Parts: sequence; structure tokens; C-alpha cells
Amino acid sequence: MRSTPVLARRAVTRLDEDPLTARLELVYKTASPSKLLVRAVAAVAALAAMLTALAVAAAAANDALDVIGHEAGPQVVATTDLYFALSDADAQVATLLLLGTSDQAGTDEARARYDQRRGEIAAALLEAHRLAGDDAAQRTTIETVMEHYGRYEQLAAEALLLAEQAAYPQGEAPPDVVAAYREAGDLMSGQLLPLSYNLTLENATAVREAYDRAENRIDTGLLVVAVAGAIALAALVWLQIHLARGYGRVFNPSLLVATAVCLLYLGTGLAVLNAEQSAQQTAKEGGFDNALSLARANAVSNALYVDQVRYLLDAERAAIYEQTLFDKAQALHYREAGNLGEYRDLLAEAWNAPLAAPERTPGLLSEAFTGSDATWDAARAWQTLMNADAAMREGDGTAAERLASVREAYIDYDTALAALSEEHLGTFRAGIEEGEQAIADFAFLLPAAMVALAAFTFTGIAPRLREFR
Amino acid sequence: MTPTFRRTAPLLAALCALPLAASGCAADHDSILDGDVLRIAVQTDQPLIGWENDEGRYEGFDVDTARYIAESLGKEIEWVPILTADRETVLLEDRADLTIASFSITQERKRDIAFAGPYAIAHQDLLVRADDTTITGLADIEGRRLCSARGSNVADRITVEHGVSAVPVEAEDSIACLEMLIAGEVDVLATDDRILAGLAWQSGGAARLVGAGYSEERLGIGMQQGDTAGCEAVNRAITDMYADGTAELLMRQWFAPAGMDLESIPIPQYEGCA
Repeated sequence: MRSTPVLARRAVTRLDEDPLTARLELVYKTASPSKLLVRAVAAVAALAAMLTALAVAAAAANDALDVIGHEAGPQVVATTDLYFALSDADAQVATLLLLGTSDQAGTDEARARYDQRRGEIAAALLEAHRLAGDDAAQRTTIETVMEHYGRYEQLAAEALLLAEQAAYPQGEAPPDVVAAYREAGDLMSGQLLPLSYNLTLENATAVREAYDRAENRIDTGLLVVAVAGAIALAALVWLQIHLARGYGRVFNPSLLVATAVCLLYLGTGLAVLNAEQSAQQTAKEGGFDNALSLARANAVSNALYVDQVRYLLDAERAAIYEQTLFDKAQALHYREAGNLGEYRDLLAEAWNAPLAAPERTPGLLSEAFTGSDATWDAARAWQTLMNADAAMREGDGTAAERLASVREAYIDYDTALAALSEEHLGTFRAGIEEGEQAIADFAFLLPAAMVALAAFTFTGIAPRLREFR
Repeated sequence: MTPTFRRTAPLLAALCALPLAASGCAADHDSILDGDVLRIAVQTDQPLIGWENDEGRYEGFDVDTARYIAESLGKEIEWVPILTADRETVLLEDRADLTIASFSITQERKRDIAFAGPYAIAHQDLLVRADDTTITGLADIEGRRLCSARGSNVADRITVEHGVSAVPVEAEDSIACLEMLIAGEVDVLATDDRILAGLAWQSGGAARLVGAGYSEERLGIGMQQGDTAGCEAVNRAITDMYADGTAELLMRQWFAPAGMDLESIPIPQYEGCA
């Protein structure tokens, strides 16, 4: 055995017989225009799939924003306006019947407000009917409200006429006037208010469903985009490797740019969709849910004020109106109390101590509490209203005086509630706007990205294809 | 392929993790809408409301309400017979999906369970022996023996909310209370007027409804917490029940013969699904 022939043989080894070379496929034999084209088309198809998935997910997000921000959202507001106008109209009728011929200024104000509310009811009904669109169930409900409301106006007019004929002083409404009002009041509390309150909730359901659907579609979208993006990147890399092996070009500038743009879009797309989700979450949970909770609180609070007026007007049913008021108070801001006295004591105990923010106990009002000044104003105004309620029940002074003190407290509370609501509506609008802006900027660039990516991919392989001519 | 995979694997892993993280935030609750069968708890001791008749079939207003809701959700019913005291525990122990059993919505109860509805508005009232003329209103039961079914909060609420102290007597169910009333062992029963109307009807004239109507009760459908979509679907079914006239028909069918005032049947204002 000599060593020379081995060395000699090694010296004449051809490049294409070298095992290492063969393994790396650094030879021309695998290169063909069809293989190159297949890889390029695969890469472009995967890129198209990724960008389409991005566009679909972005469109889903946009639809959801539309429903929450521009369709069901405003419908919720329109129906709470309806509830409030109905309830407040009833408050004015009860006030007129309570005051009788006394307190000219008070009756003038109540009459003016009643007329104003009637106008608002008509407008709110028309608006709700328009916004109901082709939802047959909602339209039927709104038409039922219209019918009942016509009957209510008639009953209220009869009671007011009877009162005018009887010409009694404040707090001394005769039984026939009280009976006539009861019929109107029962229609209001038993039919009109529940129907419009339930309409609000039904629209809130539509918002929640749109939100959940959008969340699901965005979740699916994120997954599809990620998978399509990974495939597109793999296809671009595969094309690069093929070029490197088949043509000895390690780096292809056009394909590098295409890969970079693909990565950029994939990253941006996932980031935008994620941002979209969080913007929607802020708008829905931070803004809409709280604003809806406060809109319902506003409605229930007005009905609570009506319970106070009715308590003064109808002695026979006073116990019921006191109990329904207590139920409403508990629904607005829950305290573990068995009656109004205990309730006020617990409020005083909790809020007279220095606190950073009032606790978010269950309740339409307290669930929207934050640590803001507006929150504290609303909490204090609520406490004042409950204390004024106690003074009203203890009954010093004339009916007009007793009513005036709770009325003043109620108006202050109503103002504070509106301010707190505005705070949450701000969050809601900002969330919707932010979401829409992000989508708009991104969606605008998608077609451009697709054209650019396809161009870069094909310019990347074009010089290699030319080698075969 | 191997080096390529090694390079892209971490990227792939990172990309796939994103949507998972996003979807992982959503709470995963069972909904009554998922299955084909609804387990509905109804009382079996409340004439006209929830009652097992001689043929062993459940009947009454609450039972018919249950049937309407199950049908409108497209579900079969599996009945869970209960007494007043079980209304909350059947839900907490997951033995029922819905409780339709003269169950008043209160903030206390809402801490543990959820409510759809209300599906009916009732008033608290008093039932006395037909020949008893001493009780005409709530104030008259001060110091008298007041019977209520175990698990009901009526006696406490009368004392705390209305400042009237009766002597509380508990019985197994409202029929036991009725028997004690007729036998003179207690003086008065207090609960919602629908139940009392049923008892008055059953007593065959031995007991009468006072008509005191001292408090409004919102009767809800008890559910387990966290099923917003299910709760909303139940509310939609109740909306239909009132809109298509079924609710009024059922009220008249069950309570008119018992002498209840049905001149205006209020539409329930929903509690809202959290």
C-alpha cells in the first residue's frame, strides 16, 4: 500500500464528484426556469394569502366598530333618552296633581317641562323607530310604546282636568284625581317604562354580540395571518436557498427586500390587529359598558324621583312607593341594608371617612365609579339625595316644600350623573376613533404592499430566468 | 431543510403564540345555549304556580313559563322538582340550569347567582282565615303568628322593611302553612299574591286574600353566574311571551279563577344580564 496514488487521485477529483459539493447542491444541475417559477409563484401566493387574511381581519374589526360606534351604540342612547323623557313627563304630571292650586311658580315650571318632555318623547320615538331599521321585533315594540303613550297622554289629561275642576290646595288631591292618576301611573310604570328599558337592553345585547363576534374574528384573523405569514416567509427563504444552490448567488437584493417587507407587514399587521382589539376593549368595557350602566342609572334615578312625588301624592299606596324606591336605591348603589334608614347610615359610615375612591359595590351607579372628581361629585350628590329623601318622609312643611327639597337634590344629582357619564362617553368615543384610525391607515397600505411584494419577488428571479435564454 | 427549519422555528413559535395569548383572555363559560336539554327547577308545592297534579304531571304558571322558554330556545326539559329552600342551592350545586319558582330578584341573591327576567311582577300580600276580620292591612299583623315556608325571606323583610313585628313560624312548605292557618295554629301567611291566590283557591273558601299589596316583587329566573348570552336569550323569550299574548293568557288561565285582580298586567323591566 502506497500513499501517492491516493494523493494523485485526490488531485484530479472533479468538483461535481466532491461529496461535500454534491450535498450542498452547489451545481447547476437542479436549476431550471420551471422550478424557479414554481417557487416564486408559491412565495407570491403565500404573500397574497397573508395580506388577504390581514385585509379580512381588518374589515371584521371595522364592521364591529361600525356597529358599536355608529349603529347599536347610538340606538342605546336613543332608547335611554326615550325612557328618561317618559319618566320625567310622568314626574311632571304627578307634580301638577300634588301641587293643585298652590305654588304657581312650581306648577308653571312643571307644566312647561311636561310640554317639553312630550316633544322629546315624540322625537325619541321617531328616532328609535328609524334606528330600528328592518328589525321587525324592535319596530313592533316601538309601535306598542307609541300606542300606550297615546293612551297615557289621554289618562294624564283626564286626571289634570279633574284636578282643575276640583281646584284643591297642595297635598290634598281628592280620591278621584288620585285614582285617575293611578291608572296613568300604572300604565307608565307597568308598560311604557319597561318596554323602553328592555329596548335599551336589547340594543346593548346587539352591541355585546357584535363585540364578541369581532373579537372572535380578530382572534381567528390573527391566527390565519400568523400562519400565512410564516408560510410566505418560508417560501421566500426557500426561493433564496434555491437561488443560492442553483445559481451560486448567496444573496438576492430584491428578494431580501421582499422578505423584509413581508416581515414588516406581518409584524405591523399583527400589531395593528392587537391594537385594534385593545382599542375595542377600551371602547366597550371602559367606555360603553360604563356609559350604558350610567344611562340606565339615569333612567332608574328619574323613576326613583317619580316614586318620591307619588309617595306625597298617594297616601294609600305610600308604603309601596317607599319600597319600590328602596329597591331602586339598592339597584343603583347596593348596601347591605334592610331599609332606608340603615342604608343612609351605611352610606355615611362608608363615605364620611377619607377614601381615595368610593368602593365599586354592585349597582348601576357604583359600577361606573372611578377615582375621578366626577365620581366623588356623583357619590356625594347621591348621598345628599338620600338624606333629602329622609327629610321629605319625616314631613315638615307643606307638600310643595317637601317636594322642593328632594327636587333640588335630585337635579344636583342628575347633573353630577351627566358629568360622570360624559367622562365615560369620552373614553368610548376615543376608543372607537383610535380603532378606526389604526384600521384606516393600515388598510390603505395593504394593496400597495401586495404590488410591491410581487414586484420585488419577480425582479429577484428575473435575471436568473434570463440566464436560460 | 433542517437548517431552514431551525432558523424559522422560533419565529413560527412566536407568531403562533400571539393569537393564542389573545384568545386566552376570554373567559370560557358553559352556556345553557350549548346543550340540547335544559334542567329546569320548579316548585311542586305551589298550587297554580308549580304543582304536581294527580296524574303526576307538573302544571301551573311557572311550569308553563318554563315550557315556553324551553320551546323558544329549542331545548328539551329535564324537570328538577324542588321546595322553596332549594331554589338557590340547585344552581350552586349545578343540579339545575334555571330556577323558575317565584324567586324574587334581590341584590343579596345576585351575589351568588344570576337572574334573567323578571318574568312576572307580583305583590306581597296576606292570607288569613276567611272569618278573620281583625287583619285588614300589614300593620294589623303586629304580634300575630306569621307562617312562611322555609327558605323564604318574608318574615324578616316585614320586620326590617316595614317595622312590623309578627311572631315568625316556619313550616316545611306553604301547604303546611295553609293547614296550620286553617287549624288555627298560625294567624296569617305572607308571600306573593300569586302563591296566596293558589292557596286560597285550594282551601275551598276557608282562607281569603287580604289585598294589602304592600310590596312589589320582581320574580326572576335564577341562573348560574357568567352566562350572559344564555341570560339574554331567556330575556328575549320572555319578551316574546309578553308580546305574543301568552303571558296574559297564562295569567288569566291560572289566576283569574282564584279571584286575583288582573286588570292591568305589568310588563317586567329586565334586571339586565351582566
